[in-house]
Amino acid sequence: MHLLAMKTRHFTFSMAGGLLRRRYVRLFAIAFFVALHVAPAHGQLLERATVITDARIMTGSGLVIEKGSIIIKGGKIEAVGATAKAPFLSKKVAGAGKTVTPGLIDVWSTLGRTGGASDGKATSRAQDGFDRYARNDFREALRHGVTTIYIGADGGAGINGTAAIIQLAPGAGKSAGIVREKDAALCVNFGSDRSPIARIKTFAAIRKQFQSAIDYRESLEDYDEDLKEYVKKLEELRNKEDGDKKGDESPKDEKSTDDKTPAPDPGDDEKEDGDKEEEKEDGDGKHTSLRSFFAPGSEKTPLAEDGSDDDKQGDSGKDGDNNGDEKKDEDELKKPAKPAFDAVSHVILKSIDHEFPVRIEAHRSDGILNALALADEFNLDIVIEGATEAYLVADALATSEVPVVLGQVGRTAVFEDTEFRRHTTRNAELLTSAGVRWMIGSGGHDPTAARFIAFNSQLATSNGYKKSFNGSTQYAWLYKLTGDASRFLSMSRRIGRIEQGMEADLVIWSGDPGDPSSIVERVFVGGKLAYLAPQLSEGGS
Amino acid sequence: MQFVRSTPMVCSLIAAATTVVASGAHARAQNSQRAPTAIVAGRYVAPDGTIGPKRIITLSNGKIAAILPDAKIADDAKIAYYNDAVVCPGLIDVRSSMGAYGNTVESAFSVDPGVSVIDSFVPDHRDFRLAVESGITAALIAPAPANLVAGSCAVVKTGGKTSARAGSVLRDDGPLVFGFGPATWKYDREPTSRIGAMAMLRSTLADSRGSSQHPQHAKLQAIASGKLDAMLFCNDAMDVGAALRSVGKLAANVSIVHTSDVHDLAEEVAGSKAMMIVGPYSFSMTQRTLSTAGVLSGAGVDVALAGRMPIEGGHALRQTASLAVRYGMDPAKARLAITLNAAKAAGVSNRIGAIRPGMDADLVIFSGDPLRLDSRVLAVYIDGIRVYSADEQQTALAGGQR
Repeated sequence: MHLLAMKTRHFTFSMAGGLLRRRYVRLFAIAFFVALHVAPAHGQLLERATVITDARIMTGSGLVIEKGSIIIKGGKIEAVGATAKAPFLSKKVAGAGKTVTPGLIDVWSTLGRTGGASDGKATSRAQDGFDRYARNDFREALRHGVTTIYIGADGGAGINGTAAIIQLAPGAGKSAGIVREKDAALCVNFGSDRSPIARIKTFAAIRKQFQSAIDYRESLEDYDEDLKEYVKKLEELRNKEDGDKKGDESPKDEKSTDDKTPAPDPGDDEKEDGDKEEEKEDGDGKHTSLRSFFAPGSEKTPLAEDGSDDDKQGDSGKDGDNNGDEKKDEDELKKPAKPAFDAVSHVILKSIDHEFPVRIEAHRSDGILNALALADEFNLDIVIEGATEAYLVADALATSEVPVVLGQVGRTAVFEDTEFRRHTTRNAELLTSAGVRWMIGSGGHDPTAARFIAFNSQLATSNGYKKSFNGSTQYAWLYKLTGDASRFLSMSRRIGRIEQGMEADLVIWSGDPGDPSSIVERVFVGGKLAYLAPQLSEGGS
Repeated sequence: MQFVRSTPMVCSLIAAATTVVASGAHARAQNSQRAPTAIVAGRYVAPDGTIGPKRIITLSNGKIAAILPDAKIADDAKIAYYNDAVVCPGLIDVRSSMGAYGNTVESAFSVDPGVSVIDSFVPDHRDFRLAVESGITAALIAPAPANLVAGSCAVVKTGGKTSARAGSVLRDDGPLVFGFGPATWKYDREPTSRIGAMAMLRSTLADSRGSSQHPQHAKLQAIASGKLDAMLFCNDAMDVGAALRSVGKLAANVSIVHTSDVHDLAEEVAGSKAMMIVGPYSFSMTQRTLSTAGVLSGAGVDVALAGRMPIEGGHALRQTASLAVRYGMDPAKARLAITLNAAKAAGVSNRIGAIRPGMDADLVIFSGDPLRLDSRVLAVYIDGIRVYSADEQQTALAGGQR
């Protein structure tokens, strides 16, 4: 910008050259400068809002506005309602006769998932397997009103990694999909399809991983204690030595080689470390005492390579130095060994600390009961995924207040020897009457099914789902995929409802969204037009 | 398509009045709920597939007696009121193996006109209960189409007077099934190839025209002389062409069961008067496959949609219709595709498939448009007897039964 201003000045210099002119130019330059600075804010003020007028609005929370407008600005819903007035110069989308709903949320999807199964580690992330260039698939999903998906880290039996929540917004270049949450849940598969012995083994292995995460934390806490003790003793020793002769350099040396070792007041040091952690990763401050002892590498995301390698190096260095020092100076005092960094346990500990739920895919009743036992033992927030036989253990699910996520309602039940053999389309109905909270997704096995979650939810709710949506059971399916789904994914402040301040994920249907003859005409994701029906684009609307 | 015109209003009113009085006198109190004399329909699926206004459907001896316009009728315990519901003809799954037990293909010979699928029929099969819950009141069960001439279909009802859980036979001499495509070519018997299959089919039909009295030949003679319906199972568009040019020209009524897409043949099929049987549709299918039904019916082809129970669940029939509509099929035609057109393909449209006087009283009460998957089956009547009620069924599953 400076360069630009200078150039302008030079240019005018050559034109005229008087002092008066020069002052004039200077003024002009300043004005230009100011204009440049103000421009971004100014642009936002002048950004044209998009207004959907006179539409029937199903807000996703149960409310239906028979005729109202929605004002979209800056990617958000600025106003909604019968009295919302279109700002000056706004782009208008005629909504008369149309119905607007929030973008549908698939709470159990495989859309865009590539790269095969997880390697069976808790540190795997589903977002890394998301193909943001699968545009045709996204277009098909948007065509049926789907705007947000939850993709799990799928793999064989065991702990498979963390799930991601992705908004199907147009992205950079020709990509689509913005990751909204990279650690939405810890994904666990119980391997219901295998033999009873294999299943029991799997369960035991999973249980062991949770237990070892807890043991790991305890060992870190022990180390914490031991280190304090060590520092205390070192202090005492130092004081004693100070008393004996002043000017001993050895503690100083140690400090320079290892920043984690005794400072005059270890308690304060830890606190500072912890604070730094909290600043860096919001909402992560629950076990700062544990984290404060990590090598610097662990402050990044706990990827196995980064963290553990750094740590090992740090450790070996420490050990060497300390041993030398100890032999020289203090025969009895030995610095406690820091437990090796365990990235997998860190992810598992986050789930134990309720930072995100544990999603357990279990289909048979025995697997579901195992999951409940696991939740009970480690005090986990769990969600049962699949839950084919959930209706058989509905009372247990209701008592422990564990929600379930159902997949394809219309699964065929003809193959008698699979984990789906007791599948019934009435699962949702029976869970409802038992008081179990259930959600519905496209199921974790068919990427193309994500587009039909509306149909799937209708199949689930049609079987006598009693909870009302604006006084009628007819739109329970929609509530399940919008307001209820966003609440379930802890995204309810951003998506799932058409309310002021929410992100503008909106679907404009040509008619009633439950009528198969209605089509999706437009989809907005984050306020941007992500889909326009071919019928409309040909007509040049 | 032609429809029998509905009985003039005056006649029906009189008929209804007599029916109500006559059967009212005889009906036992305990049966009145299960076998009503009239059903009040908030809306109903008319014989042209559209959803019509409020009607009173009177029943007599398991048949529909009359369809009356909305009028004040005397409050009666023998009248079933569904004021907020849509009354639909019982749905028909035209490509099913419901109740057929075991292998329905004779693997030693490729020409088996004598085979009849009814020989494998098990009336008391749990498939029927699931079908009824899904609003399916009749099914065409076909022998597996793995032979050139696979045998005769049967049409069964999914419930009836004998038991709410047992199927009953409506027709055991349904259309004769012909198989086209790779499923019929085997290495251990003829035919072994596409061209071999077509040659064998031509000579088989030619042989049957002779003076042979062999029972195997009787059905083929009926086909060749246009007296028997044929159902042709095809695999791809090429098979459909071959089927239309061979058996398609001869048989009385022809329906073509096609398992993948047939867009390019829409006009050819439209010219042949053959009924196309499409489906079932699943959530995994491509846009092109899902739009087949819409493209065909748009080109003037009569389409019946199949649910393929019990390979697919009971939901599959309506799901297929719903997906077909989402991908361009006219809603009225989609409703016909799972009722009247299916009945026509099965050769039983004189008995079932539409709400018209004289038809069997096989009725499904839906909470809304049957094409909407959020509509619920509230009750099912077969031959005028209620075989399913959602209210009664509500807690029946809680014990762990499927």
